[in-house]
This record gives sequence, C-alpha cells and structure tokens, in this order.
Amino acid sequence: MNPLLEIWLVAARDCRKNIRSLKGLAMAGIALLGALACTFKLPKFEEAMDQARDLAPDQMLEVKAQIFGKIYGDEATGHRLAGAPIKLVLLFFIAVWLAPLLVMIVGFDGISSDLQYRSVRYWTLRTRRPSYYVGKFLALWSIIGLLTLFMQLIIWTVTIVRADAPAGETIAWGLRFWATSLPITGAWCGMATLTSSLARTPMLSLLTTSVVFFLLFFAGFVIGKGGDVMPLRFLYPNNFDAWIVSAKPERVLEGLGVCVAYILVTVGAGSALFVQRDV
Amino acid sequence: MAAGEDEKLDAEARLAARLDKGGLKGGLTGGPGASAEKDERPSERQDPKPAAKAAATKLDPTEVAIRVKGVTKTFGLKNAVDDLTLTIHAGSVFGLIGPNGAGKTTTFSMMAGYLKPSQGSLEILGFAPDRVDDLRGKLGVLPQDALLPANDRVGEFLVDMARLQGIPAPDAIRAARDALQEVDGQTWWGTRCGALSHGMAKRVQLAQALLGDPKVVLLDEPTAGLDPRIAYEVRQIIKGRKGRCTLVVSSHNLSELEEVCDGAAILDRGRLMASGTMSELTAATEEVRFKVPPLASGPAITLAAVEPTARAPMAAIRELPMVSLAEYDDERGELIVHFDRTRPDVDAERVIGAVLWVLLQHQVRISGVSKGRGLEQRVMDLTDKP
Repeated sequence: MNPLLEIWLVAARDCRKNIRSLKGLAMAGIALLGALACTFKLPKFEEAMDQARDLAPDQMLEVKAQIFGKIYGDEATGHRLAGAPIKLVLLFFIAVWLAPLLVMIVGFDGISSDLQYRSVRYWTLRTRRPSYYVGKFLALWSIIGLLTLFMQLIIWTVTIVRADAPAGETIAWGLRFWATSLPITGAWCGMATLTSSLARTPMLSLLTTSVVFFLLFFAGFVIGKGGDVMPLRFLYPNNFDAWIVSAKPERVLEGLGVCVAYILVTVGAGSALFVQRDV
Repeated sequence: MAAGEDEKLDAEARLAARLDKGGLKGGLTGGPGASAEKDERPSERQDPKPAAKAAATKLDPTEVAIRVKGVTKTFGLKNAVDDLTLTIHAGSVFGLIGPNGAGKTTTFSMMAGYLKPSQGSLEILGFAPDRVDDLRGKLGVLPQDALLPANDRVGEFLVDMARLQGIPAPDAIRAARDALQEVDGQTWWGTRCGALSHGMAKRVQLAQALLGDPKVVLLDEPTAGLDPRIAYEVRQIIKGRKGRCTLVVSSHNLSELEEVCDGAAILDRGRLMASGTMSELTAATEEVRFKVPPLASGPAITLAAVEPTARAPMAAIRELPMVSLAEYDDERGELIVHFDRTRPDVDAERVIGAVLWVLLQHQVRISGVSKGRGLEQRVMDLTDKP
C-alpha cells in the first residue's frame, strides 16, 4: 500500500475521532468563546485608540504602521499590516501566541493514549510506523488549523456584519493571516507529537509537553530574542511570525523554510524514535 | 438392589450418556490427555460463516509459516526470552505454554512485531515481523492487553482496520461485517467499543484478528475472562480455521490448548523446555491412562499386589499382546498402560478398546480414560524446577 494512503487513513480517522470527542467539542467551545471575546473587545480597543489619539484616518494608518513595524521589526511589514482590519491583525497575533497552548491541549494524548492502552498495536500491525506517526502529526495540525479557521470565520462574520471593513478585504486578509499562522502551528504540532510519542501516558505527556514548551519559550524567546542570541531564536516557533508576515518575499520564504525545517526535524526525529521503540 | 450396585449403574448410565453425546473418545475424556481426539460436535456447529466459506484453500503443511531462530529478548538485565528456536508449519494450530513469566507474551509480541528481539531473528511467512507492507493482510493478531478505541463504533473500527489491511473501500464494509458475523457480533456494528462488555470486546478483537482471512493468526489468551459458552464458541472458531491458516495460541488454559492445538512449545523462564506435536508432548502415542478405584497407599503399587478382585484384570491387561508395561500410579489413582508404538497395528485407540474390554469384563469402575499423561502433567514436570 502506498504510504500516502496509510497516512491519509490514519490522519482521517484521528481527525474524526478528535472532532467527535468531548475534547473536540470543548475545544470548539473555547475557540468560539475566544473569538467572540475578541470580536466584542476589539472594536472598543479600536475606538478607544481612535478617540485617544484623535487622529485622521491617514494618521491613524501611519501610527498603526509604526506600531506593527516595531512589533515585527520591519517598517515595510508595518505599513503592509496597517492596511489590514485591525481585528484580524490582533487575532493573528493572539492566535500565534496561543498556538502552543492550543496545540498542547489538543495534542498531548495523540500518541500517548494509544501507547497507554496499547491500542497502537492494532495500527502498527497494519501501517508502517512512520506513516502512523506522520498521520498523527497531520491530524493534529489539521485540527488546530480547523480550530483557528473557525475562530477566523467568527471574526470575519462579525467584521462584515458590523461593516468595519469591506467583505472582500476582510476575507482576503483573514485567509492570508490564517494561512500565515499555519506553518507556525505546524512547528508546534511537530514538537507536541514528538513529546506525546515519548510519554507512555497522557498525563505524563501533558506534563512533558508543557515543560518542553516552557523551556522553548524561555530559551527561544526570553534568552534568544530578548538577549539577541540568534541560534536560540530558532528554538521558539513563534519567533518565525515576523518573517512570515514580512512584506519582503525573501523574508517570507526564509520564515517558511525555517518552519518547514522545524517540522521536518521534529517529525523526522519522532518518527525515527517511534520506529525503534517497543510498543 | 445394593447401594454399590446402584452407584455402579449410575456411573454406567453417566458413561453411556457421555458416550452418546460426545462419542467414545470425547465422552471418556476424564483426563486432559484424551482430548487430543478433537470434539468437533458437528451437530452443534452453526452454519459455516461467510469468512469460512470464502477461504476454503488448505495450506501446505510442509511449508514453514513461522521461524524463530535463536531469539533473545532482554529487558534491563533480565532475559525474558533466552535463545528460543521454533519452527511452526503452515496450517497448524500451535500453542505457547508456560507459567507466568515464562516468556509466552514476549515471544508472541516479537512475532507480532510489537517488540524487537535483542538477538536472533524471526520470520513470518519469510518476512521479518516489522515488514508491514509485505505482511499486510497476511498476519492477524489478537493482542492480550490492547484496548479497543473506546470512542470508535465497532463497525467503523473494523472498516478502518480493513482499509489499512489494503482491502478496497467498497469491500472493507463487507469484510468487516463478515468478520463480525464470524464472532456472532452482527448486532454490535453501531455500538461504541467503550460500551462493550469484556466478552463482547474480546470477540471484536478476535474479529479484527480474523479480518480478511489472514494466513497467520496470533491469538494471545483468546478465551481469558470469557464465560464458558463464549469460550467454547471461540474454540470452535479456532478449530474452524485449522488447516486454512496458521494459528499460534498463547494461553494458560492447558485443556483448551490440548483441545485445539496440533503442537506446542513449553516455555519456562524464557527458555524452551520442550516442543513438538501434542501427541509427542503428552506421550499420547505411547501410553493410555485409566482412572480406576484408588488402591492401598504406597508408591506405584500394582493392582495385582493389592486387590484380589483386580488381580485378574491386571494380569489380563499385562497379557495383552500390544501392552509393554502396565502399572498403577497410586498418587494419581491411575492405571498406566504403555504400549509398543513402533508396531503398525497398534495405536492408542486399539489399546483403549482392549483394556476397557478387560476392565468392564471384570466389573472395574472406570471414571476416566486419557491418552498420554496429559498436557498439564507434562507442563508440571517441565516447568518451575529450581
């Protein structure tokens, strides 16, 4: 059998399982609440910012460009993002920062629960182990992608209904931001699948994943970005967002390359370890 | 009528009833050894199941289905399996026997590819167990302690398994339904696996092992925790598969193994203590045992030496031409009759017939007949010695 078909069958089943499970429903509920909270809070934030500064739209655009330019470390990127509905920019920012938490909650039991109850044995008999592993990773990535898309859809709907921005512009920017967040969530999913496959019980996996994610945050963001230690920056996938949203195509490609490399390293290492282990 | 005569008549009536029900060999199965004659009970068998109909091809018993060569599996400092070598022929039902910690499940898990051997090699149908693609659809496994995914519905789980075995989507549902029907679980299709009772879950696990008619089926404790009726049905399923696929059964239930297996390996502390056909292991082709009334205490005292009424039958038995030795095991309360298995006209059935005739003529009460010393006795002899 083609390994791609194996991967598809494993991933499709896992997506079904996640969406139908209590955890899936709970995650959908959290996503809904999060999106609604953003939707109703952000207009106030926007209005407050407008009133406080008492600026004309053009000036406001310039202020936004400066703020975003500072956040993402590039003036051109700031100007590019200033044209987007502010709600969507902030949702992108929040989605990226909450990605590790979301991935950890959804993915901690992906492989570890199969290992704990040994149901993995039904699969390893019928699929190559790398296919099983990659299928699990892709399922997690897809679920996270669907959850973030769900949040985006709510924001888009509210933005369009409130006439905060034209529908076409909202959807175009929304899709762009959602697609931009995907490589970063993919990197987190790769790491979560790796830690989940190394633990024999879901509880241990949750603990391990949270510790590993915190260490990555500390090493990659606090020391790496804060202390400007370049190699350490690559440990923390959220550092890659500045590259991916950049206005410069070569920076975007670099960001994508780093994310892909992160995914390949974590999935490759996890898969290789999974092949070697006893189940 | 005297009380003794009443008892004798009762015993004879019970014997006759058992003979009627199971035939001579099945009915007289007092000891486990006699069950080497398989109790097929055709009248009680259900109609052939669809999967059984589908695969009528018999395997060539000269072909090797499973080869285990010098396999050692180490956990830390402990050798769970130590230099194990086995050959299992196609179409046979082979038992893995031994006490707890003997290495049965470890051996089983290495055959299924769950564990990797520390040394040595295993081959299933000529392939290493981790060659999933080469063995796809040819190897079915019932793991002992693998839980079914609780949220999956039974039908959905089996269809997923069938698809991963390479069965095309349109046929996967039919294959899953056939496998479920074979274990009498047609009505569970839409039931969540988490809602199944232990017995039902075990049968669904068995269904996934039999899915798509694999050539080799590994069953780890297939009847553990099942009620007697379901256990009986599972044994019938195993017997029904005999000759069409190679089955390896790991179990603590020796009488069950003796009933269904053609051959077995007895393991203890990771080492192979004995292996061979069931007849070889139980010496079923060398001796027959009769449960007759207990005699005076003392080791291996012959009937002739103690009980005057029994002297005649003992002497008569010893005079039978096929009998090479007859003795009484006082500890087990058994008359043991050895015979010359090299003679072509002599087999266990003929010896049983002749000795029974003598015993009945002398009105000796018989409470059981077995061929050989019984698997249980053999396992006791071989295992757990310091």
